[in-house]
Amino acid sequence: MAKARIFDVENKLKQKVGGGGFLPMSIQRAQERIEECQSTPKLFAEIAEKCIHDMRRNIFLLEHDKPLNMRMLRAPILDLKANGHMFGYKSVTMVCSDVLELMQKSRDVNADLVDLYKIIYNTIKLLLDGEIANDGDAMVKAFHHEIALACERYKKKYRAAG
Amino acid sequence: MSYDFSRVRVLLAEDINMMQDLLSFALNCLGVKNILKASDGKQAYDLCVQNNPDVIICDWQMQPVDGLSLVKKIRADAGASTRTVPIIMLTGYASEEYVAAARDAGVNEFLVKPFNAEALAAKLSAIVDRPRAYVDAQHYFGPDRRRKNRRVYNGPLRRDEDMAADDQWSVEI
Repeated sequence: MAKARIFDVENKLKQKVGGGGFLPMSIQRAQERIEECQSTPKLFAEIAEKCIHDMRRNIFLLEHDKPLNMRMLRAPILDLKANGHMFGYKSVTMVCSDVLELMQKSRDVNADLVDLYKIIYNTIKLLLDGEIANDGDAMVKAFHHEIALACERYKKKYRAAG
Repeated sequence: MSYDFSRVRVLLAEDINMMQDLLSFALNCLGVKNILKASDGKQAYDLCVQNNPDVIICDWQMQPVDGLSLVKKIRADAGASTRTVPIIMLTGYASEEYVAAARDAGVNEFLVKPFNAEALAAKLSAIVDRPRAYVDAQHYFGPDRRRKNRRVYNGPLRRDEDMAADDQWSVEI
């Protein structure tokens, strides 16, 4: 069997940038630019549209008994969770987190999970369409609460079923 | 004295325009002037071959060719000067299986969304100041996946060269 070769690569990047790290002022300016984007929720629309489209496709495939693995199901929810928080839609992140935690523990795509997936799809769509007000709104909290309870019921049922 | 990123060429592979803009703004503030943009792994690979970037920042989730495939393709390019380019993988996937998959593809650093400017700067600093050795093995090419550098080894010696050294030692005695 061939042996592994371990070698150092010339650090061209270091030669170009020198040392001393980033100036705190540069990092602060970069953070301000990021926060500008974060405080503009409508910028999130492009990302959300893509994720919602993928979720709709997944639901279509599930309803037509097409093979779909857990990773494909999770991908748009993971994207929504990560990007929602970055673009000021913390409520989307909040809604996605519970289901994601549950999906990361589930191995099989079963009917209950598909139902849960549809609920998430509808909730997120409502949030993005503005039919539910964004972060901090009582309705958002209520939806999040309902989804958390549904996740708990799912966990209890499948834990009980072994 | 501080870093001067003005001569550094960064290839940014991200399929969502808003995220691409956000990252560009942030990189500009950190001093990066030269940013090449690609919207999927295929386009990024072509730009990488043509422009020989100093750093690649790529999103995992891109269509039709994703970030993981891009990393694998770059690391598989035997003889190419871009084979050892530092790669920062940007993703919302922070679970262990995803981190392991990125590590095994040859990613240098992993930046999880939502990220802030400090995290982005920290990842760039890591590839500048703490570069890892590269490993060229039968089934892997990329940065050394062991983060800890354990220089003192007290276990049994099993390699051929260890045995040879042992023989030499015996002769000298």
